[in-house]
Amino acid sequence: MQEMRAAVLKSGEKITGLWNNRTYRIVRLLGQGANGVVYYVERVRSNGDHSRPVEGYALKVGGDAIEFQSEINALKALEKIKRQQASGSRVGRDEARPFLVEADDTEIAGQKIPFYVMRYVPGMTLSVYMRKRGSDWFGFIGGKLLSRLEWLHENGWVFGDIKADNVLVRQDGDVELVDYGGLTPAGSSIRQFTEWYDRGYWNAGSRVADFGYDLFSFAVLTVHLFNEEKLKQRIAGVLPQIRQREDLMAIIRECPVLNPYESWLCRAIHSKFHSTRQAKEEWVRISKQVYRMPRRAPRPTPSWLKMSFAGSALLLLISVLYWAWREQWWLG
Amino acid sequence: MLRQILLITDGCSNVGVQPAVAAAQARDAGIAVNVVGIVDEGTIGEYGAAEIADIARAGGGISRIVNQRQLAQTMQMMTRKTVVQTIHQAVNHELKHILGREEESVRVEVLPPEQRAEVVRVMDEMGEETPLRVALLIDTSASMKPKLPAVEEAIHDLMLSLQARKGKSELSVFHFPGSHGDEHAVMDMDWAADMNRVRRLFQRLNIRGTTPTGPALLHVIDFYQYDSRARTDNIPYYSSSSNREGTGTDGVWSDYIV
Repeated sequence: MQEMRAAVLKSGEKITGLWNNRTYRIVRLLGQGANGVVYYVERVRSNGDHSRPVEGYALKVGGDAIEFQSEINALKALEKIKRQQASGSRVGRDEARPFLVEADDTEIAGQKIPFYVMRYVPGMTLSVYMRKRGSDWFGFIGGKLLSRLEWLHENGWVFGDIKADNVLVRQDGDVELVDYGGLTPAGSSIRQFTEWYDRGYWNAGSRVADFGYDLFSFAVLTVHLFNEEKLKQRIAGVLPQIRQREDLMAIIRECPVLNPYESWLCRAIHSKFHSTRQAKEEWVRISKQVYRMPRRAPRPTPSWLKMSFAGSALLLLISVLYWAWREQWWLG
Repeated sequence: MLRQILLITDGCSNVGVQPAVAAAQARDAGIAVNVVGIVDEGTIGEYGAAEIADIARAGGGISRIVNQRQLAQTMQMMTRKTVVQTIHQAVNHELKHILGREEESVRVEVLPPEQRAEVVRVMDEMGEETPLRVALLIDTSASMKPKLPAVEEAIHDLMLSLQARKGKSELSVFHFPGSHGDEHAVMDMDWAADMNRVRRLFQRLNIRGTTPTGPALLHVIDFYQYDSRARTDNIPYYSSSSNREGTGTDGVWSDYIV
């Protein structure tokens, strides 16, 4: 078996396609996917055409050629569906964003290596976003993510590998799915998944790609976002053969942010939705309610306030002791 | 029919024929051999690691050394990869045949992008739909005993993945050594596609000190071959559904794969 050839490229290095003859300059590393490395690149225009602004792309350099090609095939299939839908209808912002810009081979150190180019999406991963911007965004972003899934599912595809790292949040709060290595046609076996997010891992169903598989992973994603510690404890503490859905539900119940979504998550975990559209509509309904609810719990006291309080209490104690010592009150 | 043996061990063989020789015979018979070396806190030792890599190389499969927690994921990944790889090799073989060239350069990877896309699409379908059999061969020498619950769990997990395939997928389970000297491997489960049969596999084990990995591998190869002669439902060709519109490959693969 050929091992994955992870191509390590430095910024400034150039990649030129052997078939399409386009050149890209590596700017920086974006991340390491399951089957390849992703870089932020800029297209290098031939014949010194500097009139147009430099376009940024995400470029993935492959490992295993066959796996890589299936990933490209999946992206192409999505691209085709989107084009068909876009023709005849007004092309909005999202429709203008292609899944796949081009696929080609390049030669690195005498070896032919495949790569493909996607539109670059500026943003941060879901977990970073939630940490920085707060859980208020959770309901909104969850709805956006479900919309993405709805589109995939309605067109016969299942994402497969939903996890916090594979969801990118843009500045405007819309989301993009990245790393399509798990993309599977409905009815086939899931191509790539992450253990914690896997329905089979929780003894909660099969690994056949259906919309319920993604919804299950979505539910685990919410648990992972808001109670990672408990999730880890459960996974470590429970024997695999008795690991079950109820373990996930127990963590959900302990988590205040997830409280309003408990019934929704329960249905996702037990595959009780009829479609992703139904699941999305239900989610949006709940999140709208949540946003209009009076806050039950006030914002947590910031740590600097706690520290200053402790500090002033300590100062008071010291001054009282000092005063008592000066006055020698116990001697009368 | 795709055929694999997945060997799970934690050390070196010490009895009988070299396991790599047995693995080479398996490969000859059209059976790919994968090996998982399973470790606790300790290491598997230089010699053991070398042997594990050796067996997989001779058997045309993959080897990995992992701890118990990674076992399920690893077995699942290996089985899938080996399915892809077996089909890949067969396709490369056919490409040479079709293009009439013998040099190494004729491979799916070097086809022009459009053709490659189409060939890989068909390969993906084959990987999903071709019937698959995986015989698990589990080392149950004394040091393996504490790891057997994790092994059983991983087998269960593998069954779950196999069940999700469109093609018929079956598992069988063997352990070695047997309970007396001449018995190199014992069957715990005959070909099954049923989840419920996987639980509580290793009930009555006679833990012994020897590790006859090579003879045990031969035992499983014999089982495969005896089995394919004895059964009529074991039809050695790709399912016709994977050969749609004009790929025209039906029957061409069969002599190579089987």
